[in-house]
Amino acid sequence: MWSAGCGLKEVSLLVDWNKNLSGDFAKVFDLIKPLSPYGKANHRCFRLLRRCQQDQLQELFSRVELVRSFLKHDLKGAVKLRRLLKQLRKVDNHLDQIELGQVTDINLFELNRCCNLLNEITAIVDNSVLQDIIDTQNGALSVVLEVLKDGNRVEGSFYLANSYSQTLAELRKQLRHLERALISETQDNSRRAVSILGSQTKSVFTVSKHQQDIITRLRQLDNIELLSQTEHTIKFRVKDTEQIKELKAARKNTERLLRQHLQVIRTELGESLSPVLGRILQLLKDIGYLDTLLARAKAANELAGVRPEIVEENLIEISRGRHPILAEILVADEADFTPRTIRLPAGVSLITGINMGGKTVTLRLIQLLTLMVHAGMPVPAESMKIGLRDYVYFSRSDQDSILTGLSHFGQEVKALKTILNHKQEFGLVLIDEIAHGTSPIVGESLAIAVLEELHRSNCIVVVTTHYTGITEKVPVYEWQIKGLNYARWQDGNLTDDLDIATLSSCIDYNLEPVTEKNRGGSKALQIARLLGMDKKIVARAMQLAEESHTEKSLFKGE
Amino acid sequence: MRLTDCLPNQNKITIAISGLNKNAGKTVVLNRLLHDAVAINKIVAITSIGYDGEKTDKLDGHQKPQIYVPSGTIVATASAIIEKAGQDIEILVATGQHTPLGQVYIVRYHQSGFTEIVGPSSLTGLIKLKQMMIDFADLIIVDGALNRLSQISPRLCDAAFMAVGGRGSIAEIVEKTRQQLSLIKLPLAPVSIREKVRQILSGQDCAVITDSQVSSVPCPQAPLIKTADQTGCLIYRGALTFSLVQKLQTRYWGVVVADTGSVFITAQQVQALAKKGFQIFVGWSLPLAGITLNPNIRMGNTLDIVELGVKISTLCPDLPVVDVVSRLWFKGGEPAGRLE
Repeated sequence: MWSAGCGLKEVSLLVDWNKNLSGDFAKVFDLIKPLSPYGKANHRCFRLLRRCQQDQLQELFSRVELVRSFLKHDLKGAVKLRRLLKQLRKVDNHLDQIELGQVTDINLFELNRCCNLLNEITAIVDNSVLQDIIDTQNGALSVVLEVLKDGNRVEGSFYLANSYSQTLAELRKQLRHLERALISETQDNSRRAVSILGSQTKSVFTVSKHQQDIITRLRQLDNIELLSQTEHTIKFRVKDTEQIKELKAARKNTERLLRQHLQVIRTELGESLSPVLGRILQLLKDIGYLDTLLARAKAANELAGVRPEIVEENLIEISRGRHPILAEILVADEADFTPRTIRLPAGVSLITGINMGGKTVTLRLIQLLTLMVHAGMPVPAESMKIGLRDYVYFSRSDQDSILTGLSHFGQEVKALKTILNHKQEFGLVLIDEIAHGTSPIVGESLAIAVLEELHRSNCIVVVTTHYTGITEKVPVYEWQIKGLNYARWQDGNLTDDLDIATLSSCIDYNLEPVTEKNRGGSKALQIARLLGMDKKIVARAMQLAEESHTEKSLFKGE
Repeated sequence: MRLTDCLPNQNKITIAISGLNKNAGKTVVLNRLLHDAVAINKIVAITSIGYDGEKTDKLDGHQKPQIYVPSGTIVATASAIIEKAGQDIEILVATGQHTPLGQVYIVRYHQSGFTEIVGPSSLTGLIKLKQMMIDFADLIIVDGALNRLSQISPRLCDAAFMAVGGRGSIAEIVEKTRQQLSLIKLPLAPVSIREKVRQILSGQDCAVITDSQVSSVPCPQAPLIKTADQTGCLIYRGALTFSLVQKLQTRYWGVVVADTGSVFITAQQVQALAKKGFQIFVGWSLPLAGITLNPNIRMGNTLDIVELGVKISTLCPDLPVVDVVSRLWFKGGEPAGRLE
C-alpha cells in the first residue's frame, strides 16, 4: 500500500517526493518511532501518497485517529502493548531455517518467544478498537503455541522436554544412569591413589618431585601408571578397569544416540511448524503495521495534530497552522511562534511584507503541512482543508548547487521550465524571492511572464517577492505580513540598534489579505535603522530612494 | 581446602579469573572452580570476555585445556557455538548482546561435556550479562581475556583470582607478579572523602577536590584545569594513561580513579610519580581472593612449584597461592598443604 506510482509523468525533479525531502519534513517524520523491527521496516518502506491515492490516505488518517482514541481510552493496554512491541525481535532468519529443515534449539527458542509475545499482543488487540485495523485470527499462532508448548518452560526458556518422545526420556535416563555408574566406578578405582594423595583426583594427576614419599607409594600401586615427567613433576594416570572402559563406551554411544534423537525431534517439530510459518510472518508484518500506526498516533498527539479535511476543490486552506520545528527553536529563545492562517486557491498567491517578517517561514509552513498531509500525518493547525497535490516544489532563495555547477538562478530557471511543462497537474509550487538572482528589471519581467502563465494553471503557486510591479500585471491573490508593530515599539521606549530578539517582538507576523487600504510599502530602511545601521547612511539611502520615481511612490503612504 | 574456600562467600557471587599473560592457566582454574563448586552443591554460571574453551589457541596454535561443564551448569555462549555443539541444552535467555559468533544466549547444560564460552568484550556488556545470569546461579565465573585487569573491576566481580606463570623463569614471574600486586594494592582514597569520591565516580562527571570544596567538572576538561599551587586532587572517571598523567602532575597533587582496572601505567611509573609527590588513589580496591600458579612453561618444561609457590606467597602473605594441577597451596610464604 505504501508504494507510489500511479501515473505521474516522468519528471526527474518531481517524480520522487521521497528524495530530497525538506529538512523540516524529515525532522517531523522522524517523530514517528516504531518500536518493533517489523514496525521499523514498515516505516522505512513508507512513501508519500499522491493525489490519485486519496482513498488510501483517508483510510490511513481514519486508522491513525482510531489508534489515537485507543491511546486516549486504554492507557494501560497502550503501555503494555508498547512494552511488548519493544521486546519483539526479528525472526525471519529463524523461520527460513525451520522451513529449510535446518532446525536448531535457537530457532525454536526464538520462534517460541516470538509467538508468546504475539499471543499477548493479539490479546490486547482483540479486546480493543484495534481489532478493526488488523486481523489477528489467522490460526497460525495457536498452531505454533500448541506444537511448542511442551518446550515452553518458566520465563520463556525453551527445552526439548521428555514429553516430546518416549525414546528421548529413556535416552536421558540411561545417560544419567551411566554417568552415575561411571563416577562411582572411577571413585572406586582411584580410591587407593586418593588415600595416598589425601584428596580427590582426576584420572590424570601431577605430583611435585618434592613429594617423594607420595611418589614412592604411588609407584607401588598396580593400577597407576607413570605418564610423563619433567625436572620438577611427575604425571600419573589411574588405569581404567574393563568396566570403566565399557561404561565410557556406553556413555559415548548413548550421547551419540541422544544427539541424533534430539535432531530427529527438532526436524519433526520443524515439519509441524513449516505450514504455518508464512502466516506467522504475515502476522508479524501486520503487527509491524500496527506498530507504525501507534507511533504515528503518538507523534500526532505530541504535535497536537488535527486530521486535515481532504477536499475535491483545488485549494489549500490553513487555519492557525504551526511549524513545530521552528516553534521548538523559538521556545528555547523564550518566544512564541505566531500561527498562520492563509487560503490558497489555484493560481498565484503573492506574499509580501517587511524584511524579517516571516515570509519564508510561511512558505516552509505551507510546504511542511502539505507534505504531512500526504504522509498521512495529522497537522499542527486548528484546521486544514486541502485538495491533494501531484507534487510539491520549493525554490528557496539560499540554494545553489556546486555539484551541478548551477547558480540559484540557473536552478530556478531549470525548475520553472519543468513546472511550466506540467502546469496542468495539481502541484504546489513555492518560490522564495522569485527571479531575484539577476538584475531587478530583468528579474521582475521574467517573474511576471512566468506567473502570468502559472496563474492560469492547476498549480497552487505561492511566491514571496519584493517586486512591486507583479501585482500591476498579474491578477494574483495578495497576502502580506502585518509588519512592524509601532505601538509596541513606542510603548516599550525602544531605541535604535535593537537586537534581533527585541526587533522580533516588535513584528506582527500574522498574515492578512492585501487591500488598497492596508497595502504597506517597503520598510527596509526603517528595519536597517532599527538594527543599528549608521543614521547618515540610512538618511542618504532615503534621499536616493526619494529621487527614484519608483521608490517615491513606495514611500507615499507614510 | 577447596578453591571455593578462598571466596568471601559462596552465594550470588561473581568471580573473575584474570591471567597475567598467555598460558597462565585461567582455564585450568575455571575447571577447578567448576569442580569445587559442584562438590559443594552450588549452581555455577560461566562466561568469558570474548571467546574461550577452544581446543587449540587461535594465536599460537598450541593445544589448550577445554572447559568441561557438569550437567546443570549455566553457560553464556554465542549462537554459532550452540548450533555447532547440538548438545542437550535448555535455552534460558537471549541477551541481546552480539559478538562475531552471533548473539550471546544463556543456556543450561542438561548433559555433562565440553563447551566453548563466548561473552561480550566490554565491561558494561559483562555487567549486564552478569545481572541476567545471577537469577539462575549461585556462583558466576567470568573467564578473562589475555592480560586484562579491567575485567576484575569491583564493578563486575566480588572476588578475583589472578593466574600467573606459564611463561618465563621463576624470577621473571615473581617480578611481574610483584609489579602487578603493587598496582592492585594502590591505596584507597582517604576515609574522609571516600564516600564522596565513590559517589562522583558512579556519576557522569569528574571533580576536583581542594581543602575547602569539591567542584564538579566535565571529564574532557578535567585534565586541563589548573589548581593553584597544585592544591587540588582530581577524581577522574576515565582511563589513566601515561600521557594523561604527564598533564595531571603539573596541575594536581594526585588523582583518584575507580579501580586498578582504570590504571594503564606501569608499576615503575607509579613509583616514579610517587617520588615526585604525585599520588594515585583508587575508589574501590580489587577483591583479589587468591593467586594461582602455572609452573608448566612451554616445550614440556616445568618450574619448581614449591620454589615458585613460596616466592609468590612471600609477596602476598595474606593471600592463598594455589597450583591447581599439583594441588599444592601456599600461604604466608610457605607450603600450606594440598587442596581437597
